[in-house]
Amino acid sequence: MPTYSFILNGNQVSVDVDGNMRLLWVLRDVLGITSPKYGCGLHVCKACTCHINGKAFNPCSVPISQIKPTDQITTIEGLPATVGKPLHPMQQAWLDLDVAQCGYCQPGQIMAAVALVSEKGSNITDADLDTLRNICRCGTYSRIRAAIKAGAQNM
Amino acid sequence: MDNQSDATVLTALKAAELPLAVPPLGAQTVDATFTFAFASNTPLEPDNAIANVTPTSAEIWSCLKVPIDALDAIAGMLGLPPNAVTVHVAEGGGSFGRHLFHDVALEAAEASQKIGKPVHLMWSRTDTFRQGRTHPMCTDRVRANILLGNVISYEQRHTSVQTSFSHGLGEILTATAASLPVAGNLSFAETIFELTQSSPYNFGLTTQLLNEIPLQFSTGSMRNIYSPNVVCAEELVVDQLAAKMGQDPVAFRRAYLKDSRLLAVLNTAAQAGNWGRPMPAMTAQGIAVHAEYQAAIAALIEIDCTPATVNRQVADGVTGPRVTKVLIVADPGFCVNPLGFEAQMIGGVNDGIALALTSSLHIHNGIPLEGSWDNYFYTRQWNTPLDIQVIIMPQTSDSPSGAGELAVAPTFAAVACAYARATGSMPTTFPINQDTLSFTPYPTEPSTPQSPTDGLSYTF
Repeated sequence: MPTYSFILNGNQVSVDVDGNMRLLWVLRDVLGITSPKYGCGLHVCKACTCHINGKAFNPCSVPISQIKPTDQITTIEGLPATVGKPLHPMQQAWLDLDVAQCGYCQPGQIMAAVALVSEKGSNITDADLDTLRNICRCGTYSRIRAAIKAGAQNM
Repeated sequence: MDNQSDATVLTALKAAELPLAVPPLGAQTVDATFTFAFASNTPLEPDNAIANVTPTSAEIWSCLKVPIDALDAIAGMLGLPPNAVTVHVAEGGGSFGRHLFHDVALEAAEASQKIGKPVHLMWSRTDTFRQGRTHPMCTDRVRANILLGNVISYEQRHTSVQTSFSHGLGEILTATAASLPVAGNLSFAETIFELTQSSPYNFGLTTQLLNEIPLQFSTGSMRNIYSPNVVCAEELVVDQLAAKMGQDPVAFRRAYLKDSRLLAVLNTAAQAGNWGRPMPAMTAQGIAVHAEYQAAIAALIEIDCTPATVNRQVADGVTGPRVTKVLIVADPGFCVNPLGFEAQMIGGVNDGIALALTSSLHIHNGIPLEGSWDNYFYTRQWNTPLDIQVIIMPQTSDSPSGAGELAVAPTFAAVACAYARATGSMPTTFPINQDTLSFTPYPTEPSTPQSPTDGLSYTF
């Protein structure tokens, strides 16, 4: 089986897997990183949202063969380290506003939120927030929006 | 079930409708029939379970709401005594009714027994929609008569594909009773219906009856059982009655509500939500009330049905009308955790909006066409209200009440009422977009589509 290497949360890692294996299952089943959730495997629900080189993406829809040794993959486990704090400001906003309900979508929501604010800047608009596709089946959307606006002020 | 579709199920429901007893009084009658599509109770986390079965024992991990029923069923299926089976209740994503059932835990146990090794069994997303349990299609026939300026009769006939209550009420006795041929599901369902559904209005002779048809769809409760549909139908008819009598919807409800706590939440909502404020064309307010779980609740909604909003374009999504504002006024008796209670109201609001406007299953050859969250249109960020307020009334009781399902029915009803006022025509099929298939269905074989490979084209 071929070997693939990439940088996961700041550490170079290598895995021996089929090149067609989606990165989500490399992260979850091979490397034991369980914050990216399986919600559909169809690039729809966004529960697995992580960052590649600082941008949001969905590892359920990326074969490991497309990942380069220099690619930096960040999951929420590695998010605080990107700002050198115990918690990223977006995570803190999530806690402050008691956003999570069942919690299943929340790692993906936070990773998408951080990427959106990085792209759009701290004055995030409702039109920007309307573009987020992450499903929250518990329906805590209004608190997600409030937390993103609050977290953006501290990013 | 291969030959069943939405149309065949609807025909069967209409044939099973219990008769209305009071004849119509001509122009002084409101006669209406509503159809509610199948809906999915799947959470975001697909059904999954871990089972480790040996010849003498079994250990199960799964997100289960009725573990005692699961344990009994798994022991029976494996041929083990119940005390040889251990069930661990794992934290899991959501519930919404799906986790009342242990289908996947039973399958994992069977697989582990046959393979002779521990098994983690997870359904694919597409299987959770197409093979998993659904909230059944149902209809509501309502007739209300007005005589000499008073509503003198209100009859409602709720007809549904049977809702499985095989889980009972959380323990073995009722779980067993629900599956007995003598008591059986319909008797059990009628008891649940009777215990949960009661018109809050003084409408003279009032009857609300349930009939079920025994089509063997895989069904279950879904963040409420009957209330979202029954209350939506009732509140739409209430608005029609008010219009027939030339009364404002809030004033009419005030005059006919039986319960002082409902009256209080209605009055608070009307005042705090600025009921009756002038609204632009194709936008409107709607209001609805509901009593359940020893709580009283009112929802005041504002909806935008203007073409600019309805015709918004979102790739692989549906837009349609947008609920712009929601005010929930709830009297839970005694509120233990206001922030948590508010969270449950917010979630219920988004469920109610989805049921009214966008989310449903379309049955074709016996199973849903829906296979992903871009087919089953639960509320998304682009359709969620920008303004949600929750007012919790001062304590009226020493007992807390249920919050998790409370907001779904009144929100659903208020959105429907607002939509009817904004567009000038009362919707009778829900969700309102049910007649338009807004996606290309995945093939049925293989049952689980391959994951895409172009994820890196969509980074942001």
